[in-house]
Amino acid sequence: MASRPTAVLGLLVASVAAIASCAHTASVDDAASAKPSGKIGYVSMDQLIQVHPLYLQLSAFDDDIAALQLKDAGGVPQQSSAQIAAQEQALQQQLSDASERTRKTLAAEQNSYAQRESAAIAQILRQSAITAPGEAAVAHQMAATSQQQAQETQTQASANFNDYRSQTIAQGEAALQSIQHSLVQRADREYRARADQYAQQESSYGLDLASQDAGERLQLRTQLSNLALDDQARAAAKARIDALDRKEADALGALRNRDDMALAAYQKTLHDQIAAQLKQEAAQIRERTVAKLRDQAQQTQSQVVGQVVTFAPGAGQTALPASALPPDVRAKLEALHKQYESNFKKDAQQTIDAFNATRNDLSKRFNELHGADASAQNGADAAIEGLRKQRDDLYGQMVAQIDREVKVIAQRRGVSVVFSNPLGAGDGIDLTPDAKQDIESLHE
Amino acid sequence: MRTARTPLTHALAAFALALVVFAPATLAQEVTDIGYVDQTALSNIPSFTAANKQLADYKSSLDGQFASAMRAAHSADDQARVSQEFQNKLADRQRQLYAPLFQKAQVAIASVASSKNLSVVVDKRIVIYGGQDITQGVTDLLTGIGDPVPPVNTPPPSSVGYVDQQAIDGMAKLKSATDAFGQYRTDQEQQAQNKLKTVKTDADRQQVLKDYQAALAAKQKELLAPLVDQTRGAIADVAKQHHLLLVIDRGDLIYGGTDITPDVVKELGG
Repeated sequence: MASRPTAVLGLLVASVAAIASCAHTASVDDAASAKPSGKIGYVSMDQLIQVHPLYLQLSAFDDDIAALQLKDAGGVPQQSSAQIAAQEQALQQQLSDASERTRKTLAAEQNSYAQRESAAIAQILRQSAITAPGEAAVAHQMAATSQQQAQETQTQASANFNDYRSQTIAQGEAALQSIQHSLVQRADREYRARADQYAQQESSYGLDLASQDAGERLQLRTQLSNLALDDQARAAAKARIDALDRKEADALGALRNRDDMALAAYQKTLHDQIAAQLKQEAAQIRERTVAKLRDQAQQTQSQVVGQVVTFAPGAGQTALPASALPPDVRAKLEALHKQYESNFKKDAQQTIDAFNATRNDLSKRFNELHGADASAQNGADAAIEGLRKQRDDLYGQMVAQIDREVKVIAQRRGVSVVFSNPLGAGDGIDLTPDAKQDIESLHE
Repeated sequence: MRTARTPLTHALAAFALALVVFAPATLAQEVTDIGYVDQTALSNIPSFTAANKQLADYKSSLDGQFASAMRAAHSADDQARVSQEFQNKLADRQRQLYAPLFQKAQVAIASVASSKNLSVVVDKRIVIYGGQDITQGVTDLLTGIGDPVPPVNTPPPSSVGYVDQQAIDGMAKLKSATDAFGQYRTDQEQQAQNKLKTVKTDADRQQVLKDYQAALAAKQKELLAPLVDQTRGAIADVAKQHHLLLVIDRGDLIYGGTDITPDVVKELGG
């Protein structure tokens, strides 16, 4: 009976009430002459909910929802697409600047090493009285070519990595959403199956109870239909029928209470299972994503370093005809080349490490800007929605059970109409204390 | 617990069930002047579902325009303005679609209520037991040929009163308390969010949330609870003065009833 109205229905109520109150409302003066139409009772549903055996579970849902909403509200404030675009452009500029600085540093180091190596080679050759007139020109040309190749390699590698990062994050998000959808559907099916099972058991039990008392009830009804029955016997027969009603209602109510509690517990279990599994899946996906990105970053770095070193100063400079050099000179040149190559590699690695640190920081900010944490955000939204649904289902079950108890009390006390949560009490009968007592006894 | 059933026991069971089902209804058939309507059922009437569909279609057509407009918005203020514009468009369309239906529904409800001599009709959600369900009668009138005819008489005096809660909430002292609580909640929310950013363990997080909720509950008790009690007291006093049995919120009322809002406002010093 206590279904939530939609916005449209709410509007219907408000509109109709407004029109009705204008057109057809009795005045306050008339109210004094209103004839009370039998007994009218009321209950404070809010108070009854608080003494219901399942109130703790309901509160737990409310607390969980409030906690998630609080965390949710603490996220990055929503920005306009123009703001995001501007920030993205600024970050992209920072990345380009860092890349350019790195390229220039590497080029400068490369030139410096090339010049020093050329000078050292020239000195060795002079000491060995070997002349190589075109040597300096050849070394210079090779250095320029290697510098250009290193730059191109680095730019391409950086672009490839950015593409790879976006694709990997998108794949992870899609996978998590799919898993989440499937988990929620599965849990929903399991819950409905269990609820159906309980409903069937309750129907069957209700029929059993009715069957057990059917004979006596029939006999009592037959007695009541006897016009010659005296008042005392008639009252006794009615009282016995009432007692049978109450006994059956209480027994069925007790089973429903147990079923409701079991269902609520089962719902909580399913929810916890989904949350745990989703958390686990999200962690695994995130771990895989991070590992993939780390591997790719390392590969990119190795690729850049390897190629930069290949184009490093002096590479190929010793490619003078072997026959033109005495073995000792050739050995000296090779040793010299290895030394410069090693020193350059160390310096280049430091420069690239600095660039990587900057790029990682910018990547993180890119991800935040584009919602790389969207999976976590989506998860929170879905969790709130799921919790709300479970909370509403549980509340509905509790209200239905309270309604059943209140109906029995109203019949017992001869109350014709019972309202839920009135704004104020007049001379109506407050059934809340009686209902509280009955509902509290459900704990037992 | 379960016993084997024979055809005879089935028959007896069916008879017994019939007694169980119908007996309380018979006992409850005391004449009352209180009716209720299941508005969920009314919303399933073809004219309402058609209006729902038209509104949904209109909203879909707006969604694309809304997304484009939001993308083009350059600031939070622009976004708020765009959002308000589209909400207004939707609300206008909603009024256009539903106003005639509401008017017709109101006449149908008044007509059925009058024919049954009901003094008040409320929303089904607030009735736990008893009362007359006039949903079917109203549905028949709304789906029948021709428009329902308005009743000649006004509703008879009712022992059920109602209060316009919005009017009460709009009173200066209630509004200032509500606003103060809203501001307090916003501040607490901000503080809790800042704390959540720094805590590292689940236990600490739980503590932050617990403190946040406790602070809100305490403030609510301090600022709002006394006013709620005062309002309830005023409503009860006015209800007794007018010999009303109980008082409901105007939002739950559909027809009739006795309006005691002005008296309650006066009682509260408004």
